[in-house]
Amino acid sequence: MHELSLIGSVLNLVLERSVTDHFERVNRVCLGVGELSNVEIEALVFCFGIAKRGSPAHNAALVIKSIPGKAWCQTCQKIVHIAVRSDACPSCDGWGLSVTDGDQITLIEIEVE
Amino acid sequence: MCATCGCSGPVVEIVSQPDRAGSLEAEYHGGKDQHGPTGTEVGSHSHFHDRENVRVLKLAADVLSENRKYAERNRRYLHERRVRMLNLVSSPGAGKTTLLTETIGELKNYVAVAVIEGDQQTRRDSDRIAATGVPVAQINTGKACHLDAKMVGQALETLTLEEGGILFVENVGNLVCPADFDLGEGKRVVMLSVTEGDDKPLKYPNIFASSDLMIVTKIDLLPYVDFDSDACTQYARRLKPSIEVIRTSAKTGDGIRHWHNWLSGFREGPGENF
Repeated sequence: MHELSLIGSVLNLVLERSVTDHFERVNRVCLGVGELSNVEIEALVFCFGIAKRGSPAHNAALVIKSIPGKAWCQTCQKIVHIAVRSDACPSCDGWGLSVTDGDQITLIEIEVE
Repeated sequence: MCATCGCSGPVVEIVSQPDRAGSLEAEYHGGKDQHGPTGTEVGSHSHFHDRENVRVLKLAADVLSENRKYAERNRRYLHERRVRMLNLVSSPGAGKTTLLTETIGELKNYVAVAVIEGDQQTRRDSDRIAATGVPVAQINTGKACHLDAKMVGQALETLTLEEGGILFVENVGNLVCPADFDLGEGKRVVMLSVTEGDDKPLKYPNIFASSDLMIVTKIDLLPYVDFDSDACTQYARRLKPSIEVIRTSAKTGDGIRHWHNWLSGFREGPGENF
């Protein structure tokens, strides 16, 4: 359940910005979650619902955008889409792909007032 | 398209509603505007476009950056003291503590060794390490399922580290959560016992993809289990082509020499550059 730690980091980032950008409440928190990241979306939403209480994001909605997993295939010499890390290259069925995108968890933006 | 967040693209959005903590609702934002007139609210996805003090802050912030900041601090702290750190990860019961106590018995004769033990509860593992006579710091994470760099940084301050030494961090037994948390280690070692099954790399890919060495433990039990060592290595290398593999038995001593050689290479190898 490391999703609680991740949401804790999200809320810390929001709190830091509430000081520097002078806002009191957050209407929406938008996260980008990579397909290849280690995050369980339902757990993330559950933890957000609990951890946001008492924070500037107390009434905020959580929007999660899925970021497609991408990897470089050495054989095909191109970037291919993979949905899970153990996928083979969809073009050549080979292994040993290097992940280039979709393994991140990003706080894309927040709507504040 | 919504001018505020540009969310008309072909993405699936999962929106948790403010009034329904923890609930899930999937919204497909296809080609058409689903927000309705400005200032109205569709479902829970309210934008309050007409309220003038409402604004959107584009952050593009890495959520793990806070942990990474502490990890870099640890890395610098260790670099200054010329101490190399290993992060040992595995499921519970793979044999991390047993391999460590066996390793330390010999290793401490020619190199300074220290250990940070991570467990949810109890000092049982740190007591086993302390019995070998090397400094040990216990972190009890309470309910947390992994160590993070901040916890390790606090433990580092309580340990006396000798220059040129090696520090083992025994992470909480878990093949999922520790994968995302860089502790500031020089290398990450994932351990897998033969009783767990040879397909674990495919089932828990992130932790194997982020490790530098896989130690297959308890190989003395191979005659009694269906564990295909070559298949296991192949699966791990699908995820991380460069991963090294060592097979050990703390009971019979098989592979322990190989592991010691690997440790020597790690200690003498290039450190982090700052």
